[in-house]
Order: sequence, then C-alpha cells, then structure tokens
Amino acid sequence: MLGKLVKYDFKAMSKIMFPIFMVMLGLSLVLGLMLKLRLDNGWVFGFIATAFIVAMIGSGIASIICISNRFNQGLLKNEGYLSFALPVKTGTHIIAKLLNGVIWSVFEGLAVLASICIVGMIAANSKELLEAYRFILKMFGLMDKDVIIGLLHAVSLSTLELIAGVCLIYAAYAIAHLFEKHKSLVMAGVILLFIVLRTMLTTNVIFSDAFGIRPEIWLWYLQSLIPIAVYTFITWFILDKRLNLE
Amino acid sequence: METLVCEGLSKSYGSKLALNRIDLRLEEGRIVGLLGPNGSGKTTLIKLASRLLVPSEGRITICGEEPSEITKALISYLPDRNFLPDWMNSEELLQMYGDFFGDFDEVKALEMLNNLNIDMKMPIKKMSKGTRDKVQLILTMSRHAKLYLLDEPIAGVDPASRDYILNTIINNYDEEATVLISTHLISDVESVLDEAIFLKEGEIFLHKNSDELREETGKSIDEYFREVFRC
Repeated sequence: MLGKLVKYDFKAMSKIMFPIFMVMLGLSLVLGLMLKLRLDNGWVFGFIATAFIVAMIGSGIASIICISNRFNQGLLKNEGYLSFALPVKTGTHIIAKLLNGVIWSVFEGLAVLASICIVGMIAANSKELLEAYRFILKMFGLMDKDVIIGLLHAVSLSTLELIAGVCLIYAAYAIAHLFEKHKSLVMAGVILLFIVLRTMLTTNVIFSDAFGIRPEIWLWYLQSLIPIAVYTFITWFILDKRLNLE
Repeated sequence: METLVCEGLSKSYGSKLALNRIDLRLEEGRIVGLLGPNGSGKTTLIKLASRLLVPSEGRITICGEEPSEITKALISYLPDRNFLPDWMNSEELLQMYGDFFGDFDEVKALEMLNNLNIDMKMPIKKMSKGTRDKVQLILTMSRHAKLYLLDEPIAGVDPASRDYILNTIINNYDEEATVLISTHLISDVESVLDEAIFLKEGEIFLHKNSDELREETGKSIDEYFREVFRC
C-alpha cells in the first residue's frame, strides 16, 4: 500500500512541479545560448538572467509549498475523507507523505544543479569544459578515505535534516488541525517553538559548551533523529487519535 | 450476521456531547435510514464507523472487528462533501479505486460512467457539482462492500438526480451488505428503507422496521419524523 500511496502523491506533485522544472531548464538553455553567442548585454539578457534566478528560487519555494500542501490537502481537508477511507494505517500515510516530500526535495535540488550545469556547459567552449573535467578528476583523486567518509556523513546528515524539516511542517499542520481558528498562526508558532526548543537542546546538551563541538558523530545523528521521532509521533498521534475532518 | 454493532457508544467534541451511549445492531441485507435533523449525530456515527473519529466511550464494531484498516476494506463510504482529488480524472480514479480496494468492480463503474456519458479524461475540478456527485456515488457503489455508509447522498441535488442516485443505490448494493443512508430528506428515501433510525440530540429515539413503524403510527415515516422533530 505504501508504494501505491507514494505513486498517487507523486502524480499530484508532478502536475505542479514538472512544469516549473521545465521552465527553469528552458530558461537555462536560453541563458546558456545567449552567453555562448555573446548576447550577454542589453535588457533581454538581463530579463532572462533575472527570470532564471527567480525560477530557481521560486522552484525551491514552490516545492516547499507543494510538499506542505499535499499533506494538508491530502489528509486534513476534503481529500482526507478518501485518504482515511483507504484500507491503510495512519503511519503508512505519514511515511508516504514523508517519502514524497524527500523525493521532491531531492528532485528540486537536482533540477537546480542541472540548470546551472546546462548554462555552464552551453556557455563554455570545449577547452574550458576539458579543464573543468580535469579539475573535477583531480579533486576526486585528492580524496582519501577520511574525506570520503566525511562527505558520506555530510550527505547522510543533510538528508536527515531535510527529513526533520519536512516532519516539522507535518507536525505543525497536525497540531494546527486541533484548533478551530487561526490555524496559520498556530502553525507558525509551533514551528518557531520547535526550532527554539531544538536549538536550546542542541546548544546545551548535544554540544559540550558554547565553543566546543563534540567529535562523536553519533551525537550529530542523534540530534536529527530525535526531532524526527518526536515530530512523527506527534503527527501520528493527532491523525490517528484526534482527527476530526470538517 | 450483524454488520454494525454499537455498544454504549459516545462521542464528545470538547464539552459538547454529539452521541450519547448509543446501542445499535444492524443486520446484513438491510437498507437502513439514519434519520435526524442537522446536529443530531448522524455524521458523527458514520465517521465513527469509518474510523474518521475515535469513540470517547463505548465500542463500535464492523463485522465483528473494531474500526481499523481491516474494516475500512469492508466499508464503502460516501461522505457528505466533495472528497475526490480534484486534480484527478475519472480514468485515474477508477485505477486508484482498483489499486486500493480489492472489491472494486471496475467494469461496473465504467459501464455506469459510460451510461452517463461522463468524459473519462475530464478532471474532477472541471465537472459540475451534479456530475461530480454522480462520479462519487458510482465509485462508492461499484464496490462489493459489506457495509455502505452514505452520508446525505441526496442533499443539495435536483429531483432528477435524486432519482438517479436512489436507483443507483438500490440496483448496485450487494444483497448481503447493509446500507446505512443518513438523510433528513425522508420522503425521497422512505420507499427504499427496510428500517428507520431516528437520532435525536445524540440519542436513538427509535429504531424500527419501516413497515412496522408505518403500521404502529398510522403515518408515513416522513410524517412521523415531522411530528417527532417539530420545532
């Protein structure tokens, strides 16, 4: 059932996100060509360059809005009547939404990266591209075991932070669902409260003191995993025990 | 076999008591009218059976099981609002129902949609309210469920559509299933009801066989309802 839920959420998100990605990639093509053909002055270039930057920032904002909106619309609004009528456990719904959020955040990152690469690859000449390729190879060659492990930890921790961020938004929506009025205000308050609480705990408990960072890597994982568990439990508890769709 | 059983079932929203110690038993193969004015607890009872709400007290079971993902597979639920994802079209919805509900009869649903000349590619958001209501009903009634929970299926629709909706319900429910129809438009549904439940201020005022009720009171269910719930 999890795969099916993810499939339908993915479809819902793709209807909004793919057109945005297409615009961004299209603008990167145009921008790259203008740079290549030395058409890099005048108002048209300025307009395209600005539109490209706006599209990159906008796609990031759009993905956050869409991920939040899918959770809200799919589980807490009218669509929730269908979602919760499906023979699926509440936890499975939450995991599906979480997976969807992570998948689209990764897609968003890849789309931005691809856009920048497209501009660079079109604009650069073959000599510059060869130099860039050699530079990348050299960088990889310089990497020893410790650097690779460090990079893997950085990627894992970034992914966990991404998951924690998505879980926080879901928990905030779930808590706001308990209130009849001022839901947006409650959401904002909840997010702020959790961020402050987490910062306090991270500073006072996880780190040894204000200037010393503990070297134990598991503490870094723990400071992401604990909030994920707390946010997910709150979301599950409210959706499973306190749900009241209106 | 009993399809739906409530024992001392209560539900409160904060300090407001919506259902008060309901005891109810519904047998299979019956069409039951859940009748009552607005705010009498009809939707709350249906939501409890669908596990959209959790009881404050007491117990509710469907085919002997407490509400869970297992009972959701046995229940075909039609809420009192537009619940279909508006970005989907009928074709995608048929696929979705087929994916999630093992008892969904896609051929039957397709036949009903074709009979109404509904464009399978048209997104739900572009459909008129009447068409959307019919698509929702067709999807709900195309399942071979044990319990159909229909919350206000004819509210806010024109008389011609009411006939279509009622005929669809009667002609498509599984013979061994129970159909619970919540409504306050009694005259429209009276003819199809085997039993009637009057809900008054969160309590069961009466639960009787339709024919017995008419014989005992000498009135139609609609007339008797108006007498009981006169303001």
